[in-house]
Amino acid sequence: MADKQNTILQVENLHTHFFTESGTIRALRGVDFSVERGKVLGIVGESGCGKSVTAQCIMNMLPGNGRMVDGKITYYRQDSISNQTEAIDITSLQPRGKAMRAIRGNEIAMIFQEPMTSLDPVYTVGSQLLEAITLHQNVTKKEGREIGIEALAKVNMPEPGRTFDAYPHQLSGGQRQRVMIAIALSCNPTLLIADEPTTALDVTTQAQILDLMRALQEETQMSIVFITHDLGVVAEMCDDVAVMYLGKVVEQTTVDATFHNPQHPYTRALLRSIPRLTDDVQGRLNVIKGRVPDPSVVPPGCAFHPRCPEMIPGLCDVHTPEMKTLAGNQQVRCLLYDDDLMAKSTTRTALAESS
Amino acid sequence: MAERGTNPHNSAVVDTRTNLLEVTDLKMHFPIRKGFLRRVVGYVKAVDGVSFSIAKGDTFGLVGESGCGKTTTGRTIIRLLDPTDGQIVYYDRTEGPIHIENLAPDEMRTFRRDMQIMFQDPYASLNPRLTLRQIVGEPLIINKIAKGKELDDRVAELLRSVGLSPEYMNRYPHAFSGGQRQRIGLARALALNPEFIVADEPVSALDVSVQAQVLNLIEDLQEQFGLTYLFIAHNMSVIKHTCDHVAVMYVGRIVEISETKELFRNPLHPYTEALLSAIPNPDPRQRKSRIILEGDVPNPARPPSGCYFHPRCAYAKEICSQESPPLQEYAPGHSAACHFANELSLTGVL
Repeated sequence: MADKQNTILQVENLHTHFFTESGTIRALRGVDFSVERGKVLGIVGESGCGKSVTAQCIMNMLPGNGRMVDGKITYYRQDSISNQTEAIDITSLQPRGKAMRAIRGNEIAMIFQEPMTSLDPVYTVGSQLLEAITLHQNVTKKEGREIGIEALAKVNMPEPGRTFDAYPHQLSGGQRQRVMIAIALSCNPTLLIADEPTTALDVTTQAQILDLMRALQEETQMSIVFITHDLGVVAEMCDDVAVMYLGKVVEQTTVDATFHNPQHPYTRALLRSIPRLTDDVQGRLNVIKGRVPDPSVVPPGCAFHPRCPEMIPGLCDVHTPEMKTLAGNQQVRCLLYDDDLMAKSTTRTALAESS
Repeated sequence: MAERGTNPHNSAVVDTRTNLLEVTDLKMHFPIRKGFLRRVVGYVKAVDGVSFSIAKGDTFGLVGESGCGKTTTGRTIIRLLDPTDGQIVYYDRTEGPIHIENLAPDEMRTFRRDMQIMFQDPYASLNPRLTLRQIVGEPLIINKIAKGKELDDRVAELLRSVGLSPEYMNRYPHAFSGGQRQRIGLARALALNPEFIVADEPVSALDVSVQAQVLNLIEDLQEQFGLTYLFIAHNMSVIKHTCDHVAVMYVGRIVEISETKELFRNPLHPYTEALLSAIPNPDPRQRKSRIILEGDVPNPARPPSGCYFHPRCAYAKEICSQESPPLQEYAPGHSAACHFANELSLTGVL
């Protein structure tokens, strides 16, 4: 699909299930997207759509009862000297195996959602940084400390030397998130997975962290998968956007097209439902009726059809839409763009009307 | 109270509508205790001299970052917390002005019928062991307003008014999603026909599509029942959409207060400017450089000297670290607490 030279991560038809006592939860039902080298891909969607599970799959660290049952995640490792790319299928690697551990935290790093809970309260910031550094780099403790302090300085931490020896509870939320970023970036990853990195932060702190992430991305030219539910943050940060709904990507395109030429009814509805500063009248907001269904009972056909304003009865609740590529490489999973099916249905309605 | 504001000596800009609530110099200080004797070693000045008034039928927004005291202000106003100092005057529909800060607990109880609160966390604010009938009906039973069949009818009516089916009456909260739980919280708040509702971050825990539904519902109910809201939020876009007037809080104090659109267009306080600038704009064609504040919100137990904002303020001068600026009116209905509110030309977002 995309030029392999420019793609760093390709996810194809990924199915992930969770096996629980009350049955199987199909969290991902065929996720497709690709991340280009040096670009920021935003994954947006409401809670329960599978954003975080996707991140866990890329890192190959699903909880015990979760399994990738189908599909492929390909990571294209580029050798900086020979400029050769090597395709690695992450889904085929053992989660605790050597090959995966060489990638996880080293080439693909992750920032978690909650800076308050993702740092261990009984270890200093320094020892948590050192853990990542000494695991992947062959350095002495002293060198590791230097690299760690340098990493803290890079994320604009005031007094990096002192923070290195501080415990997480001595830091504010924004500072903890900086530490998380420092740990993630300490091994110079080529791909960073950021799972809602600013959701728990205040607006002005969020602005600080987004500013920092953008600057670091420009400097290191790493690729980022930026998971968020905040469309404002997506517009700020991302080059490309994948919109998810109930375990599937329903639209992937450039950030400009997402906001100015959205094709999937869900993307359009989502954009209409957010209050905007520029709205002049204090009128009613456009809503999406209903709510995100429970992932254990996914509606048949297109999963969005019960809430979709453009639902076609007899079509959307029966046929499962395929991903269609429109002009400008805009990819949409909606029957409105399935010409064959639409043609058939119009002739059928025409026939029904004439009879 | 109907005469208020019609006085011809009042300047033309004073609201001709009547005020429902006037808060003057409200303070809520929490003691910090230490040692074996639990001696008081200091105070967290969560709310430190806050004054504002809310007109009847208005939605008054209170915005600020975590720890700024907005929730404490809301809770103190309806006496879930007893204020350290200050006045809260409520203009009751029958009894006229009442000083809430002086009311004894039993007087307050009858009075609470008029003032209700809707909480932030829909997962923590509903008792998981009670059915909807019990949750929504509890205020009616406690105030001996309804029981038996009458109670059921009233609960059904309340559920319907927040867009839930009365058939849900016998279910428990776990069966409902976040948005539905906020509707239940709203139904409970409405049970006693209140005039005034404190909505404490009612949509911050909700998904975007559900947030829009709840915001619309809050507005519809205001029209239907003639409600007045104190709307607490940290999301500036939600404030802009919902509120008529807005006050910006920083470390326990109001730094700016104004009619909503005016505040977004012409902020007078540098903190408001930074807050507005930090709002992520859902339009990739309008990416711009933002004002990035240095550092973090100070600890309210040890606030900085002078203007609390001066260590992070790009415009700070010497006086800012020495004197605390008073909240002053600079334009009709638009006040700010900044030494240089007159001199700075700050940028809004509209």
